[in-house]
Amino acid sequence: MKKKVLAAMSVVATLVATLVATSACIWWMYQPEEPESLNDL
Amino acid sequence: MEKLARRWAQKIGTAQNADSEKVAVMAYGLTALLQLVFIFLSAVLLGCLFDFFWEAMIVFFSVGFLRRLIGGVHSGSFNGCLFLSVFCIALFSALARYVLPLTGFWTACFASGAIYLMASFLIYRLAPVDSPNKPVRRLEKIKRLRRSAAVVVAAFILLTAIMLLKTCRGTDCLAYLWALDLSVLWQVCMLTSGGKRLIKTLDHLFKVSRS
Repeated sequence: MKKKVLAAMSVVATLVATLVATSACIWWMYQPEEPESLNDL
Repeated sequence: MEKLARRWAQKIGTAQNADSEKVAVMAYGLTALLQLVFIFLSAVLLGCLFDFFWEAMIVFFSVGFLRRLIGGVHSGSFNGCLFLSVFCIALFSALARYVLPLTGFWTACFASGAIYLMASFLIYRLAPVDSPNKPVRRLEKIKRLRRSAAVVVAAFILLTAIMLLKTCRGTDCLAYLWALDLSVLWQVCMLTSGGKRLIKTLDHLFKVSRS
C-alpha cells in the first residue's frame, strides 16, 4: 500500500514538474532552480 | 517548505530506486504543488474570514495564469513568496471589495481601458520575463508564451466588457471587475524594473521583520 502511495505521489510530482516546465515560471512569486532535464521543454 | 519537498522527493526516490535527476524533478514538482496549495488555502481562508472569497479567487487564478505565461520578478525565498502572495491577495481583494467600487462605473470603465492598454503594450514589449533559475531561451517557446498571453489578456478584456455590461443592466459586478483589473495591473508591473525594485524592497522588509 505504501509503495502504491509513493508511486502515485511520484507520478503527480513529475506531472506537475512537467507542466511547470512548459511555462515561464511556477505560479506566484518564487522560482526554484529548474532541473536540467526539464530545460528543453 | 522547499526542504520538506526535497525530503519527500528523496523518500519517494529511494523507494523507487530513482536516479538523482528524477529526484530533482520530483522535488521541483512537489515544491510547485506545495506553493500552489498553501497560497490557495490561505486565499480561501482569508476570503471566508473577510467576506471577499470570490475576489480572492479571481486574484489568485488571474495572477497565476498570467504569470505562468509572461513570467516576472521573483521573491528571493519560498517563505518570502508565500508571505508576499498572501499579502497581495488579501490587499487586492479588500480594495476590490470594499474601496474601489465606491469610485463608480465610469472610473472602472476608464481604469480598465487604461490598464489593458498598458498591459498589452508591456506584454508585447517585455514578455516573457525569465529568471536565472528558469531561463527561457528557445525562440519557439517565447513565441508560444506570447501568443498564449495574448489569448489570456483577450479573454480578460472580454470578461471585463461582460462585467461592465452586466453592471449597466443592474447587476453590480464592479468588485469582481476591480479584482481582475488589479491582478492584471500587478502582474504587468512585475515585468518592469520598477516591479523588480518593489519586490526587492518587500523581500528586504520581510527579512528584517523575521530577524
